[in-house]
Amino acid sequence: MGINVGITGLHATDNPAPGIGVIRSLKHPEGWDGEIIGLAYDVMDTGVYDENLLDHAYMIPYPNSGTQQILARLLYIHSKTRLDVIIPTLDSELALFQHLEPELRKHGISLFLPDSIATKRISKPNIADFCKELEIDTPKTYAVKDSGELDKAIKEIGYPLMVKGAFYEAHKCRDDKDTINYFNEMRQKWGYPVILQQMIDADEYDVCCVGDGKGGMLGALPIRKTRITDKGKAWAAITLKNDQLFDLSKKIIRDLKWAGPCEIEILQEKNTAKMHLLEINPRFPAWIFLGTGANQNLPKMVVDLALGKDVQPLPNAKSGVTFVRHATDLICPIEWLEKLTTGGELHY
Amino acid sequence: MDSFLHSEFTLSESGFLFDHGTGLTYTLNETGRFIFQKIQDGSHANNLVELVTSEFEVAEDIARKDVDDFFRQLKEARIIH
Amino acid sequence: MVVFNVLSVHSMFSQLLFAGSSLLNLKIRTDDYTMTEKRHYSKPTIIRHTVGVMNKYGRPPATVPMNRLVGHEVKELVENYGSPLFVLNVQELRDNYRDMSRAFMTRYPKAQIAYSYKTNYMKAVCSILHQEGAWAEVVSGFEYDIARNLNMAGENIIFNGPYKTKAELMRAFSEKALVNIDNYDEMQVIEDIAEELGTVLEVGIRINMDLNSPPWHKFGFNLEAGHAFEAVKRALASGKLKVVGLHIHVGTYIDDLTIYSRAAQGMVEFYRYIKEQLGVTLKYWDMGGGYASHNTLNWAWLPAEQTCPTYDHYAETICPILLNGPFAAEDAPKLFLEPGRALVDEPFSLITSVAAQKRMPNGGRGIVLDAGMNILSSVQWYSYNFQTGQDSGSMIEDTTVYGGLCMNIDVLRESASVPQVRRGDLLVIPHVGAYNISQSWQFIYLRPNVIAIEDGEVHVIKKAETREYVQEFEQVPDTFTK
Ligand SMILES: Cc1ncc(COP(=O)(O)O)c(C=O)c1O
Repeated sequence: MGINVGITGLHATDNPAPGIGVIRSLKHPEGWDGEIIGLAYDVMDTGVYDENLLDHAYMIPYPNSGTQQILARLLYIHSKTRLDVIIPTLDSELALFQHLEPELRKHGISLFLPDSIATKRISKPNIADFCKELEIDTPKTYAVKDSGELDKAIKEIGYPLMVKGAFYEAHKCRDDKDTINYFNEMRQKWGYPVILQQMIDADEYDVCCVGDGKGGMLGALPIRKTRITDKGKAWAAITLKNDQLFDLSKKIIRDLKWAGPCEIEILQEKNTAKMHLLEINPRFPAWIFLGTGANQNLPKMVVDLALGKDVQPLPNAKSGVTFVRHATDLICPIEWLEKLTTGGELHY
Repeated sequence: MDSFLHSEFTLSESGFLFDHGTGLTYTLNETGRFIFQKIQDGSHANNLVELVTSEFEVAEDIARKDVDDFFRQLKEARIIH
Repeated sequence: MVVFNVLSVHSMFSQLLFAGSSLLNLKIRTDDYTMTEKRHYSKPTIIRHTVGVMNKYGRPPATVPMNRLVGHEVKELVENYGSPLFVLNVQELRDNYRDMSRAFMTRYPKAQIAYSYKTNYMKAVCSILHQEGAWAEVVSGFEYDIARNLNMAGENIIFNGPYKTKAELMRAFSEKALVNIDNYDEMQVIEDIAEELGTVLEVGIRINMDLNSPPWHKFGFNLEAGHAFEAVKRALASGKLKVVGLHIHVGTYIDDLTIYSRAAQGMVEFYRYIKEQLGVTLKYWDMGGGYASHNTLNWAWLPAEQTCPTYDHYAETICPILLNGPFAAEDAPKLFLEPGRALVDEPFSLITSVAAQKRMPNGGRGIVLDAGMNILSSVQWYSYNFQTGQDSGSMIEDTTVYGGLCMNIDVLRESASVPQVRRGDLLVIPHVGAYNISQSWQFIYLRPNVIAIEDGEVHVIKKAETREYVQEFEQVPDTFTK
């Protein structure tokens, strides 16, 4: 009997959610015989219309719409299409799934998630303190919780700076007008705090890691983005072999006792070659499929971890493997849209 | 009386409504779907309250107010004129 | 005027048949269906699909009707006690107290809750909590008097706050209340009192730390700037005061546990320091209040139920750190906690009625309720949920919820998910027990009944105001009416 995996974050636009990359990674190895259950927040989450990737699609309530509703919906889905493992792929869902994990586990649905204290420590407002504790450099960061603090934050950081939403989005700002505009936009969209961060002239690297929850790092995929969109998303990237990145990631995972996937964003200052930790996203990155070409199938590893299997650390990633993202169009009959809109589920 | 619908509409069993003219889609609840179907079938606006009260468990004065409000919604959405 | 087409004739006909059938209790078959009963009705609705609205499984809790509260029909409660109506679930209040007390006492046996009166100082509420074992935490002579009037012994009252009059302090000290000093001016007044009473008075010192942004510097003496140490030194120097307590209150609605761990750490280090430097031995330390409740802040994205720590989380954060203090386990100072909202927010609900519905110029919907921000001041901070008090179907719409005051600012929520409701329908707003009642103001409307329900029994714990009550202390000099 194959393993059925539920996956969120199916919206693959020019700012893609990681779900599709995770699904493709899971289906990549020979002999995959489980079913993929897409868990969608909106009928326009693009991935739900990919009949080659999904076996079923279900609508689920937004993470902010109340725990009991979401639990009830997941258990309904589980009763119709068995869910062995769920891999949440969005930052905003993590608290919810951490909260639901014991209950889901009782029903036979497994997850492999970091604990909430570790997540809190690396949240955008706290990451600066975290860096201080670990003696890691980080760009000057200010978590603004009140528009009255904005001036002070701007003065402390100086231009150019980044304005970031509490969960998502980052905008480059060169003057007060930009900053105030994006500050207001981020506040309305994601609430407080709004993060202001110094911009450093640096090379940017990402490492996707999987931690075993006890301090060990089981896999690591360091990359450099070689093409980025205007939203800073990778459109092409290449895998690296870089001890500095590897060691820094290992140190972070060890201290956090991180469980499951995360994406560590690291800057290397151009002038001084100093490494700065920019942020840690508590989930897979959207480019995770690249790992399958570099001996790091990390989504598969997370499924095994969720199932409680004994997982050994992978050897280092193969370097020099690249990906380019390639947009494509799916044709879908309006009945699919109707089924999802009115019935909330779609079975291919 | 079909003429007071703005364009061609497909209304499915589930209450999913597709406007062929604009490409917009809507969801109607059961009562809304019932009324919309009657409009499509050519029922006159004046009869709709009766149709609703005979089909559903509802007092006439409430149905009258609600149908009125529903028509306002359809007009505001430029589905009927 | 009426154009009968085939369908409507059919339908008129079937209606007649239907009436007949129920009279004669017959089942009449037509070609297509059995006409035994009519279909369930809900208000006809059409909703256009836009991003975010297309997920009907994203239904917020508002569509789950809450037509019963504490075992009573919401509709009946309103028939009997009017609308709006505050409803207290007494058992829930007791459970909250017991649960919080357990969480702390199992980790720090000498823990004691002193309920923060200002959160809701209705006599019934304070009485229930005192019945459960709570002490009183008061911040004015008025609150102190409420506690004494409820027969709380002075020694079970903690007297805090930045402004206490000399007479109030005199009363508190002679009744053996615990007083935490906020500033030097107060310290001088207390020294005068010590002199007048001819004794050395035991006092606590309120301190603050740079824990949050913006930091709470209004109250007490700052630790980082060295003011707290100076204050303790200064209190001892006079020979009239003995420092036996330390108090901190880190803020309100603090859901970031790291703030409490830093505060506890700071307390421990400070205690160690004043013990070494000044020989102070504490009888108590007081970690204040601020514990969050299950309400979502206006600027938060995730709902409180996902972000709000449990009592156990707070206790687990605070107690082990304090137990590392400079003392043997059996000599541990008493630990006070001053929760307010974390105890009383959830057990209260407000039932309100829909007064009107409007279509706004931008196409959005607005509804007007019979309750305004004069009895719901926490709308400044909280995004309350509006649950329907009856089955209102599942077609939700983004709605601006207006209070009933004739004031433009009276908006209870800019954008709430509310099903289709009509005038007279009931909405239930859960978790309204903290601050709303004690901060309510009589304005435009009279304030409503407050009821408490326990073991099925309904008690009015505060009667609705009357005009006579509101005007009781007013006087019109004769010369104004002649
Ligand atoms: C000294 C003190 N203790 C306790 C509280 C209760 O706070 P909360 O309702 O946030 O628990 C307050 C409220 O401001 C306070 O000032």
